[in-house]
Amino acid sequence: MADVVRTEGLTKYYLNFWGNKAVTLNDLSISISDGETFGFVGPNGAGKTTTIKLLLGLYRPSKGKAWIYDKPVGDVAVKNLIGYLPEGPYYYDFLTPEELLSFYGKLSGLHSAAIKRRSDELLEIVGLSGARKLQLRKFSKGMLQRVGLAQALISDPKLLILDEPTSGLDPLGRIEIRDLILRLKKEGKSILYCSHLLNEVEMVCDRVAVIHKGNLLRMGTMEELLSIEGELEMVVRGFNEELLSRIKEASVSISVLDSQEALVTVDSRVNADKVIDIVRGSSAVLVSMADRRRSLEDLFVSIVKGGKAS
Amino acid sequence: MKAAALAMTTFKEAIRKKVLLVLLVFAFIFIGSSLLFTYFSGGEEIRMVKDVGLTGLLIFGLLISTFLGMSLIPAEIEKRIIYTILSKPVRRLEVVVGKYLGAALAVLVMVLLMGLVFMGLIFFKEHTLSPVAMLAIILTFFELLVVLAMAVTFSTFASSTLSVVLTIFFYIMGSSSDSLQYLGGRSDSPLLKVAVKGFGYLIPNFEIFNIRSQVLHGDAVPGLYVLKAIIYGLLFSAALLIVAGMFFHEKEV
Repeated sequence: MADVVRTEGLTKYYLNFWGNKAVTLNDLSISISDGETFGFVGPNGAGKTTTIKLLLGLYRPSKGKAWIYDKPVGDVAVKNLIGYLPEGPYYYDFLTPEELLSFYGKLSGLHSAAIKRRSDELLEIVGLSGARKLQLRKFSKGMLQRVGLAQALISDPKLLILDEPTSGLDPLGRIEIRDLILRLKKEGKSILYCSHLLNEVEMVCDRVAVIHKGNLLRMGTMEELLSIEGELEMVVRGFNEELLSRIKEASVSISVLDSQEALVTVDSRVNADKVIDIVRGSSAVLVSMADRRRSLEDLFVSIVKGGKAS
Repeated sequence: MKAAALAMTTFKEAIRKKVLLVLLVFAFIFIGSSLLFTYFSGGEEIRMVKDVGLTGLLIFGLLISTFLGMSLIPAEIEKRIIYTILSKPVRRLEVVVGKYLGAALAVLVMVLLMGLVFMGLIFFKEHTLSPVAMLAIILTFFELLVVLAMAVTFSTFASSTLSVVLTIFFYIMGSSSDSLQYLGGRSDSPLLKVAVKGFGYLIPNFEIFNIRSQVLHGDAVPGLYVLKAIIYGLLFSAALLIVAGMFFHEKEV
């Protein structure tokens, strides 16, 4: 697949009066493929927004290069392919959603008829059709975020750059925005999803990069990052005490889920085979077997606290 | 079309600024106050009305232009609206020009309103409209366009306070341009002569827009002179905007 975003050694630092460097992004090399939802996670001040600003040409890199659709970042022509939702956005609050979309549509070079058609479509998608004549000053945070998403989508961009799209929203607002993003993902949009809300990222993204203090610490698919090497989890239904005591010898741990099912964790394929054989020789049933996964949060904490790149 | 969209939004935002409305009210009071002074100045009544009116128009116009110009781009950066604007396929010069045009439209509306009050007072006193006073209002507008462009330019690299200080400083220098040139010409130092001459090219000559004495004495002003002054104002503003565009292009937001 073609690279939608590519960075090579992207670095941003500032020199203070005494010539000391304050590095906000250090040697970042990533690529995002077409149709991929790429999570960019890190604590506040990790370098996520700096990366976005570099990709949008709002900052100039101190070192390294970045391309969007094989064109150098900052190229005006490529910006029609990008939709950007900034963190905690502010818009002209005396405008209505219709006027706001018309403004951004004109900036995107769209004609009036296209703007009208696209605005109607987007207001419907983000669920603001009923509020199209309402000034933005009367909007809630969630509504502003939805109108922000609509402005990002006005030129039907192929790449969406979303900076903390759900932060500051209540649980319902968060679900609404997440569902919208999942819908856009299904439509084939490439998405760069920056957030420190890890469960959101886990639900939405295909691949993740963990960044901390400007350094890329880990990058990979969800599967690669979250599965614990060699460990498997098996759910056994219809167990009894005797069966569990036999399984115990081959397993790392057993948790009884309810009166019917138990979760067995094993540390190798060989031990998994042993458990399978034991279950087959009994009246119990093996319901499922999968690689043991940790949550992104667990991984994130271990990486950030460890602080080592890999 | 992109610059026009930016201009219209900027205009709508500008005319909603409360501080501008307050300045406008003060301008009306200032211009209207000339009616009070006339009782003390006998036959000079109408000259007083014109003098105070033109002064009010210029001072409040300067305040409005400087205030609008210095905040035009920094406010967009501070409110982070600039991020979404620059994420669209818009050149930074287009942003500068679009925002400038919107502010210029707001200044035009303010000047027209102040001018209407001013002309209304003249009509009230003279029972006739003064064409020279009208030309003075038009020239004041083009003078304010240059001031606005100066404030925008300074705001692209300096803080708000410094932008205001620089705008006022260069306005005062530009308003004394002819005198400075005269003094420079009489100097014995060739270095000073060259410096003053160079200074004359770099700083807008605001005296070109000043036809106050013609208004006060009822003298005619040639149409060609007005046209030249307007073209001068437009060219200087355009040059300043190009400089502002260059600074803004280099700015990290």
